[in-house]
Amino acid sequence: MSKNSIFDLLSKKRCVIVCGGGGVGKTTTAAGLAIASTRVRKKVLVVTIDPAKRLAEAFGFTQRALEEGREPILLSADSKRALGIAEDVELSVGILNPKYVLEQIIAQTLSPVQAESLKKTMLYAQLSEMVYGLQEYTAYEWVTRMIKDSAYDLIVLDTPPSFHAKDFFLVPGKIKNLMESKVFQLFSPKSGGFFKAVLSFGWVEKLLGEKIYRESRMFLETFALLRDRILDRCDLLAKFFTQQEVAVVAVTTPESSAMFELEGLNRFLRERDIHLEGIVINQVEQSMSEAMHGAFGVGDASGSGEDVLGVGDDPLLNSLSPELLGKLHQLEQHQEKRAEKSRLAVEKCRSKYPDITTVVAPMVYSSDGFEILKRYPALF
Amino acid sequence: MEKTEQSLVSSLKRINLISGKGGVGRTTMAATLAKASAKEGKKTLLAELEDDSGWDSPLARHFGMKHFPVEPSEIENHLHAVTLSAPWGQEKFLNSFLKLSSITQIVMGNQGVKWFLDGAPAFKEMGYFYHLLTMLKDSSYERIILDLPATGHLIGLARLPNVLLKMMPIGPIAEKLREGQTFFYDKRQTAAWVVTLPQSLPVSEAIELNDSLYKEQIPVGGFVLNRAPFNPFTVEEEAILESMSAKSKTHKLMIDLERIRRLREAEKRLSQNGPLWIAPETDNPFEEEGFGYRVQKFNF
Repeated sequence: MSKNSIFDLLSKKRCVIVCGGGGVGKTTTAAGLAIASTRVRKKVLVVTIDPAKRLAEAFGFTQRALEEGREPILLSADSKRALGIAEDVELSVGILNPKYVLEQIIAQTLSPVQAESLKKTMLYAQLSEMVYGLQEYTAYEWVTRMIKDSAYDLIVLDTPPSFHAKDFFLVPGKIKNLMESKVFQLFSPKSGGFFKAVLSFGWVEKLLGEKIYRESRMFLETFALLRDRILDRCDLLAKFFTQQEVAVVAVTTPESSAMFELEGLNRFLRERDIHLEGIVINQVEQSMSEAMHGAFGVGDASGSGEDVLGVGDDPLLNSLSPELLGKLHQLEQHQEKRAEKSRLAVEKCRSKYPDITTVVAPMVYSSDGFEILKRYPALF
Repeated sequence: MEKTEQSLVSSLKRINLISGKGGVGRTTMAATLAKASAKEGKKTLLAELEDDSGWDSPLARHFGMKHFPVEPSEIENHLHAVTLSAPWGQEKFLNSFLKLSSITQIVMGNQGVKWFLDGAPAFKEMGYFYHLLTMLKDSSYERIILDLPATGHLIGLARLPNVLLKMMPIGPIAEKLREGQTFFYDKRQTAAWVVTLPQSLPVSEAIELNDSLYKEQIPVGGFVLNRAPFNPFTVEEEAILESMSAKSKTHKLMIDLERIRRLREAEKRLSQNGPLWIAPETDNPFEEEGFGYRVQKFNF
């Protein structure tokens, strides 16, 4: 396998899936990738999922606009200028709304009467929170639709927050299992009287109370009608990841728990013939001198950093009391320790995955979304 | 020492729900607190929800185990551990309802029922809920510490009784739900702790979570600001450094101070929204003797 740079992926692929465990900066990285890609692509879509909505905030959308918006929103000329994106590029941001996508599927599959009775059950209202994988499934529905439409040159998909990075790839199989499970078959219009008889005995009803039993039954009966459509889609989706035009990029941090997660993800993907084509290591700590000179440095201060504090001829620092200078030194040493830990983690990661492009994104000290995003393109 | 009285371990309630987004060190915090609590000689139960992915539990890994057992067992002196399991809860609930375990086995053994409990929404959560309730009712546990992986889990568990009670206001399940509510909403014995980091987004998320817990009437003990960076400066010294760095925007001091500024900002924002505990940055809090006592209440 040849070693592509991440920028190569952005110029060749149709879809880049960004995955990783919690708290590693997945959403920011997805946005950064999308911005970087606008140097070579004209129409780019970046898709993210509630509940974080951070991406949207960083792009300058209000929460409300996105909650109401059911289709991707185009970045304004002002936002593009602020992010250094060329005027003739169209960058759109889509926020997945599982409830809306589910409504669409229902409208396309069920009769209006059936759809009405399904939506009336209380269980339907709880569905988006309680049925495993609905967010992921709706992400697939969306992305496959967008790819079919050919409306975009590139789609960057920020995967939903989950416990494990691999969860996203497990979803088609899990949904398939659920849909093929006997509980749905039981209520399928095709199933025979035998299954119906099994459930007609009184235990369940007595236990749950008449109302919830009736509701659950109605819910499952109607939902079973969606089964074939969902099953078809799951088969397509399972193949989707292995396509040449789709690339998977993992996001991690130098923290050992995040690296452990990455290891599991890589093993998991390999077993399924899905290629992990890039790794972004976020939140990498730097020593003072690195931070002053690196791409993420604050300003362009000169000074070689041999004397970490640079007290030598610095009038500002020279005016400090020895006690305060001592404390600054202590602080410096703490930062050195953090940087050393990060350095070791990055090295270990690179030697572990020699065939995968690894990008290091230093820790950013800004809380300004624009500032953070603007720094990404230079990394890829 | 006066300091000790302000530590998080000594502020724990009987029931402690440890929550927070992924990556903030929540699981390690739960493990550390449980260890410190057991060390005090308090019979402590450390619990987590079963994860059906089949991966090893990061919480159990702290204790050299792959998973905690479904029936609580003592893993260290005074420290007991359990995995809350939905099927276990469902079965035990049926047991209590049907009185005879032989009948439960017949019912649970019935495929139709199994499929129903597995596939219909809310029953899985109900299983967790009942298992948790069984543990809460065991008064021999002086402290219970529950590690809740995703913030959605906590809100989901908190909301469950109200959602289900609307659907089935009477019957055996309703009874159990009401019983659970008396535990969850009682601030004398229950507290949720929101673990977060000194960065602006995790802080915003922690405040959001705090708000939704408040809305669900779950008593919140406070925020735990994890990995707080080393700060050797007095307030006066900070002011001197601030005024110096303002003179030179590109000075190295800017980087020195940025981390401390973020810490200050996090402290300010969080303490405006609730009580705050600060956990210092360390290489491995779980390995560090008495770390639980180093998590100290923040005072102005």
